[in-house]
Amino acid sequence: MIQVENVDLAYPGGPVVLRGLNFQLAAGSFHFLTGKSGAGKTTLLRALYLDHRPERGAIRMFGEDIATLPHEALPALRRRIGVVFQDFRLLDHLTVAQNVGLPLTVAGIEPDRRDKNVAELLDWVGLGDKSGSYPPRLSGGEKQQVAIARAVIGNPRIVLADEPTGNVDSDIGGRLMWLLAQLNRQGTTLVIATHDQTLLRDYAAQAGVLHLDGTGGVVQQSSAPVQMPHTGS
Amino acid sequence: MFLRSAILPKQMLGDRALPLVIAVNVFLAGLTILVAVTVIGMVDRWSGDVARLASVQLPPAGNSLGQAEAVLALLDDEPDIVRAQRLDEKAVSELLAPWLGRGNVVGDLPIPQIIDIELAPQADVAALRARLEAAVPGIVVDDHADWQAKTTRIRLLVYYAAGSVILLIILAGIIMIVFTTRANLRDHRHLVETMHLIGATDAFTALQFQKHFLDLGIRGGLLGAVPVLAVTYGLARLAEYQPDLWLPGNGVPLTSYTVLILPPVIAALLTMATARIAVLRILRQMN
Repeated sequence: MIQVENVDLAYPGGPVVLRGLNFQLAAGSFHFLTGKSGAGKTTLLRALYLDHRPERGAIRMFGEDIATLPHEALPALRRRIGVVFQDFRLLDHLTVAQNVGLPLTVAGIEPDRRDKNVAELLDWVGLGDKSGSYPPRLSGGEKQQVAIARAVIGNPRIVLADEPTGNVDSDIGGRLMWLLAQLNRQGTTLVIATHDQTLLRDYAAQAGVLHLDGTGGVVQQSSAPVQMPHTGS
Repeated sequence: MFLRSAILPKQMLGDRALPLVIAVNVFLAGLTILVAVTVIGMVDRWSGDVARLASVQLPPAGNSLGQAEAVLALLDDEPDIVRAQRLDEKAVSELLAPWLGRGNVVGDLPIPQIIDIELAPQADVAALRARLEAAVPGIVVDDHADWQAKTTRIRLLVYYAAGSVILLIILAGIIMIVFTTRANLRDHRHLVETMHLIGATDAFTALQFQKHFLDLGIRGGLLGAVPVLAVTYGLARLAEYQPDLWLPGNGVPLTSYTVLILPPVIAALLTMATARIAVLRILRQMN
């Protein structure tokens, strides 16, 4: 699903921060991406969601080498990856429902089907009553829930989340992680960047760890059982 | 507002200023076209009037009247001439009045006899002149070629002057639109990047901006077109009372002014296309 081969990554316009990365993540797996601040977690995630090309090496997503993909092919590939951004990236002038439905809007899904999916998903994340609200009126936890809903509305095969519990209290963080783990149980490949040791402990049985050691060198990888999609209801 | 994107904010930079700038540009372009169509139309009308006319002058001589009658008989047999008519003394006096004043100038001065002729549509004036000069020594055939050359130059001058003014107006408009588009993209970079990262194609993102700017272009175009049409209508009404002035309707049919519909249409399309190209270029740079 995700293959990283001899990859060097630099900060945008800056020095190389990760060197010679090698790892691969199987479809349906769940990994935490850990490391100190500045170790390159966000830079690696950006490369995985195709916002940043490697200086060297190959990153294959769904078997496609992103470095050699033509510009026109990137949007379709991005739509197969859901991203929960650290700063949420919600659009303040759109309602919660419009924000969540945005990936379907850009994918050209007809409005009726989009609105139905959005309503179902907002109920699932527990924000059914907030669909007409605007992001500035939401709490941090609610914003994060909206961001998660937007990341998964397009039924992506991979979800990447950057510190999804970083700005919320532990109760809400637990709820958000439960939502993400649910996705993984349905077969979605999950990569969560975090420095929250509690999360690592709580999900140790389900999740592997990709640890960036902060020297720009190796990634230590521990594996975890791959979740098979639930086929029943 | 029906064209507005559902994704872009309702209020964006230049939403008020850009339609006004477009309106001013459309108004100026419309006035330029109005003047050009009127001048070119009048010049064309004059050229058309004189194109088939010529005059034959007979040198003053003792029995010039008898000579004129003989030439008229000769002209009647010419296949290139539809009609020939000698100008009587009164008509010649009227022609000369601006230079020589009124009075018995024809009797006092050796004035040539003048015969007005109307040429056949495909008349060969050079051959006709040669035949007449051979038959009547001293005869002068004037086919108004100098006049026509001048009107052609005036026509070209007006055409290129109006074209240059309109090009400058379009250029100023494009610069303004590009500036506003870039400012909007800078102001909404967060939105553009988010759309980009959730899988929006460049074409989709550009479409949102292009719809927005088409809406602004249509509003600006209409805002500028209304006063141009009002001015045209007003001048056409004035023409009814001032038939000698170069005004719409005086010799230039009002249907010629349907071209005035072009500035608002072009402004709207140009606004849309410019915004689209600017957005696509910027999105390309983002990748």
